[in-house]
Amino acid sequence: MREMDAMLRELDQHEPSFEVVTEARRRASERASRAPSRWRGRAKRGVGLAVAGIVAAGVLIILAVAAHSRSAAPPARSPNGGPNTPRQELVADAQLLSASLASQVASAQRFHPPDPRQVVADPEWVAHARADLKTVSRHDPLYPLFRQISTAQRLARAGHIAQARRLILPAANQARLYAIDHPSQSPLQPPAWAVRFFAVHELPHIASIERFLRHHRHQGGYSDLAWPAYGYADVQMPQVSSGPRYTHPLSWLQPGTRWHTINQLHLQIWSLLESANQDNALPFLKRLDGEIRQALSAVQ
Amino acid sequence: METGQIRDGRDELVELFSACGGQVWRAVLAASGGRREIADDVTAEAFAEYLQRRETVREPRAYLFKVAYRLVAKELQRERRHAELSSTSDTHGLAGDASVLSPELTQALLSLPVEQRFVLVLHYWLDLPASEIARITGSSTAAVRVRLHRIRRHLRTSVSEWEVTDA
Repeated sequence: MREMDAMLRELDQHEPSFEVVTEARRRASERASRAPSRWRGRAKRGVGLAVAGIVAAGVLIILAVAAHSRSAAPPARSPNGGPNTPRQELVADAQLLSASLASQVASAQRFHPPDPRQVVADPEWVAHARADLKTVSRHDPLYPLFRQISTAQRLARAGHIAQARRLILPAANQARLYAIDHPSQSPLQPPAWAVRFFAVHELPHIASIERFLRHHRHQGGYSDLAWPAYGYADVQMPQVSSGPRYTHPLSWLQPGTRWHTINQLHLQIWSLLESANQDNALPFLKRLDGEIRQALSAVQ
Repeated sequence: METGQIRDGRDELVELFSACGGQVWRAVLAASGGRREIADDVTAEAFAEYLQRRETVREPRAYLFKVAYRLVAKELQRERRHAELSSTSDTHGLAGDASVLSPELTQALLSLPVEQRFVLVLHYWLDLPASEIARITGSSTAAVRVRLHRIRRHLRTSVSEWEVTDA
C-alpha cells in the first residue's frame, strides 16, 4: 500500500484556486436575487387543483354509483307503452308471484286434506322468485316481501299449505299496497314470464270453470255450483278471506289497456259468483277468456 | 433578506473554505479522475448550496462532502450517458486526457467506480473513519468497509501490474 499512499500524496500537490469561493458566492447571490417564478407557482397550484378536482370527482362518482346500487329509490318511470324499468319489473314480480302463489295455496285448501298438487311448481316461476330475492337489496322494502314469497313457495311445495297460506296472504296484500303507494313503480306492461304463466295456467282454469258452469246450467241445478263458483273466487281472489277488496294480479296495468278490462271482468265475475248468479257469470267468463287470449296474442 | 444573510456569511465562507475547501476539492478531483474543471465546478456548487442553506446545516464539513459526492456522481453519470449517446466507448480515455494527475494515479482512480474513488480519498487521504464516510455517502458502515476491502484488493493487483510493466 506504500505505492497507494505515495499516489494519494500527489493530491496534496494540487491546490484549489480561491476563485472557487468567488464563484460560489456569485452562484448563491444569483439564486437569492432570482425572484421565484410566479408562473411556476401558478402552474403548480393549477396542477394541484386539477388533481384534487379529479380525485374529488372520482370519489363522488364512486359514492354515487355505490349509493345508486344500494338505493331503494326507483328509477324514472318508463314512457307510456315503453318497456318496464327494472324496478317496475321487480314490483310486477312481487305482485304477481305473491298473488299467484296465494291463489294456488287457496286452491289447494279447497280440498280436505289440502292438495299440494294445486301449487304450480313451474320452474320459471320458482326461478323468478329466487332471482328476484338475490337481486333485491337487503335495505329495499321489497326484500322482506320476496323472502316471504320464497319461504311460502318452499313450504307449499313441501306440503305445508296452512303455513304457506299464513305467509303468502299478508305478502300478497303488502305487494298490492306497495304498488298503490308507489304508482311510479307500477309497470305498464305485464312481464313476459307472467304472460306465459297466464297462457299455461290461467286459460285452462277459466275454460274448466266455464265448462262446469255450462254443464250445471243445462242440468238445471244450482246446489252443487257452490264449490266451483266459490272455488273460483278463492283461487282468483285470495284476498277475500284476508279482508281487502279483490284485485287481479295484473291490476297494476294502467286504464286503457286490455289488461285493465281483464281486471274489470274478474271483478264482475267475482261479484256475480258471490251473489250466487252463476248463470249470469257465464257470458262474462267467456268474454274474459276471449280478452285474455287477445291480450296474450298482442303481448306475445 | 436572503441576500443579506449570504453577505453576512461571506467571512464565514472564507474561513470554511480555508479549513476544508481544499479537502473537498481534492476529494472531488480524485473522484473525477483528476478533472480540475469538474473539481472547481462541483466545489463551487457545494459551497454555493451551503451558503443558501447554512442556517439549517449543523456540520458544514460533512454537508460539503455530502453535496460534493452527490454532484460529482451526477456529473460523471451525465458525462457517461453523453458519451454513450455519442457512441464514444472510451470514456476513461477522455477523462484521462483531461487529468491533471499523474498517469499512474489517474489510471488507478479510473479503474475504480466513482463511489469507490470517493471512499478511497476520504479514508486513505483524509483518514476519515468508516462511520463518517457512511454518513457522507449515505450508506452503511458495513458497506463502506466492504468497499474499502475491494479498493485494497483492486489496487494491490493494479499496482503490482504497474510494477511489472515498469520493470
